[in-house]
Amino acid sequence: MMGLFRLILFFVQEGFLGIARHKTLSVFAIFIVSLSLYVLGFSRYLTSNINNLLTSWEGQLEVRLVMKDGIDEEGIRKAISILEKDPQVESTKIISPKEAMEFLERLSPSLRALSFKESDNPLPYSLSLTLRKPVDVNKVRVLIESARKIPGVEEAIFDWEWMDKLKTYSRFLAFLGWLLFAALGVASLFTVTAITRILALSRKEEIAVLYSLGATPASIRGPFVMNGILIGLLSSILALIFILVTHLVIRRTMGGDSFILLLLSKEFLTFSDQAALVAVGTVMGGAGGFLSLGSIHDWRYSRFAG
Amino acid sequence: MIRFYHVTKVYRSKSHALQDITVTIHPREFCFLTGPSGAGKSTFLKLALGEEHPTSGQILVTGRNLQTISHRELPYFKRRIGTVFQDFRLIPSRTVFENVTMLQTLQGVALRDRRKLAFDTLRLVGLQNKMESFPEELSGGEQQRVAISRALINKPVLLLADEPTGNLDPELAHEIMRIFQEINASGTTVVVATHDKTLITTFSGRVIVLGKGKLIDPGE
Ligand SMILES: Nc1ncnc2c1ncn2[C@@H]1O[C@H](COP(=O)(O)OP(=O)(O)OP(=O)(O)O)[C@@H](O)[C@H]1O
Ligand SMILES: [Mg+2]
Repeated sequence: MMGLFRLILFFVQEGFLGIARHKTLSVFAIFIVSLSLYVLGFSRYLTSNINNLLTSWEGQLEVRLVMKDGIDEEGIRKAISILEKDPQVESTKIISPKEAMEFLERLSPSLRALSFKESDNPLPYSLSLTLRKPVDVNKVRVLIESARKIPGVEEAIFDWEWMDKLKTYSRFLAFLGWLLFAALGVASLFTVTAITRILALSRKEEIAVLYSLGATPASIRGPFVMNGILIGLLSSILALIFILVTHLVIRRTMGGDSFILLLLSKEFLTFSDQAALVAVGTVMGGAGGFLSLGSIHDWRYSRFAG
Repeated sequence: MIRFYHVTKVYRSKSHALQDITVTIHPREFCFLTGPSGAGKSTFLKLALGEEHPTSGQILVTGRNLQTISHRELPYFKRRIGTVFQDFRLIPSRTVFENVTMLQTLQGVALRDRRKLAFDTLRLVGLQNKMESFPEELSGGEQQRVAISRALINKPVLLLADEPTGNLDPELAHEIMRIFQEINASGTTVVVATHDKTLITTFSGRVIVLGKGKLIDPGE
C-alpha cells in the first residue's frame, strides 16, 4: 500500500520531468488538448444555460383563457369551477381588463400615451391557469380543447411551440458540441500519443534496460501514462480558465447590450461539470500516454542493440 | 539450475552462433564459460536470460521452460537472476544510486531502504562514495563495477556475468571474483563468461569451453 503510493509519487515526479525535458512539445500538446476540451466545455456551458432558462420558463407556463365580451362574474365563477376539476390545473387566477391593461402598459410604456379610460378598455376578462408540473403537453392540449367548449370562453391560448423549438435547438447544440469534441478529441488523443512516443524514444535505452532487468511493463509505462495524465490535467485546467474568461467577457462587455447573451451567460459551469471536464481531460491524457508505447516487449534491448 | 537441450541459435539466417548445445549447470555451481571471441558466450547467457529465443532446442532455467514462459511472466523470472551485461547497460541520465536501485524504485521500495541497499552493494565493489555520480563521470572499470553491484543488489539465485572483469586491472578483477565466490558460497549459482585465462586458472570452478558455437568441453 505504502509501496504503491511511493510508486505513484515516483511516476508523478517522472511525468513532470518528462514535461520539463520537452517543454515545447508539452506546451504544444497542452494547447491542442485544451482546445478540444474548451469546445466540449463551452458547448456544455451554453446548453446548460439554455436548459436552465427553459426550465425556469417551463415553470411559468400557463394557459390563458380569454373570456367572451360582457361576461359577468357569475359566468366566470362557473367556468372556474369546471376548470378546477381538471387534474392538469394547479390554480386559476382572474385577470380583470384593468390588470391586463396595467400589465401591457408596464411592458410597453408607449401604450400609456393612448390612455384608455376605464370605461372603454378594449381588453376582455381572462383567466390564467397555472399547470401542474411536470407539464405534459398532450394532456394540456386535451385540456385546451375541453376549455374551448366551456360556456363563456372565447379562446384558449397555450404558447408551447416556441418552447419545443428551443428545446430542439438546445439538444442540437449539445450534439454539435459532442461531435466537434469527438473530432478534436481524436486529434488530441493522437497528439498526446505521438508526443509521449517522442518522449519515450528519447529514453528508449532506459526502457530497454529496465525491461532487461525485469521491470514489469506496467511499471515501465507508469511515467509515460502519468506524463499524459499531467498533460490532460493541465489542459483541462487551462480550458476551464478559458471558459471562465469567455464567461466574464460576455457578461462584462457584451452582456449589457444583448439581453439574450446575458441570459445565456447567466451561470458558469457547475462544480460537477467542471469536475467532469477535468476527468475527461485526465482520462484522455492517460489513454494517450498508455497507447504511446504499445507493447513494452517491442522495446526490448535486442530490438535496437542487436 | 540451467539446462540446455540440443540448443541451436542462428541470428537472422547467418552462421550458427550456437550449435546443438546440450549442457547442465547445477544449483550452487560456480561456472566459467570460456572460448575465443565470437564463440557464443554472450549468446548463451542471453538465451538463459530469455533475452533471445533459441532457433531450436529447449532451455530450462530456475525450473522454468523458457519456451512456455509468457511475456507477462518474463519480468518476474528475470528478477530472480542477477545479470552483468557485457555492455553494462547503465542509464546515462541517472546517477549511480538511481541506476543500482532502479528495479527497487519501480517496486515501490522506500528511499531509506534503497539507500541502505545501494550503500551495501556498492561497498562490495568499493564505489560507495560515487552514489551521486553519473555513468559518464566514471571510468570504464567503475561503470563495470556499478553494473556488478546492480546485479548483486537483490540477492539473486542465479548470477549471469558477461565479461565482468573485461575493463578491470588484474587486482580489481581478482577482488570481484572473490566477491562472486562469496556470493556463490551463500547459495547463488554463478556463471561467468570470460576469455581471461589467468582468471580461470586462479579461481577454482567448472570450466565450460565453447568454440565457434559448439560445445568443446562441458567441464564435468
Ligand atoms: N544480435 C546479433 N545479430 C547477429 N549476429 C549476432 C548477434 N549477436 C551475436 N551475433 C553473432 O553470433 C556469434 C556469437 O556471438 P557472441 O556475442 O555470443 O560471442 P561471444 O563469445 O560473446 O564473443 P565475445 O567474447 O567477443 O564477447 C558471433 O559470430 C556474432 O557475430
Ligand atoms: Mg560476448
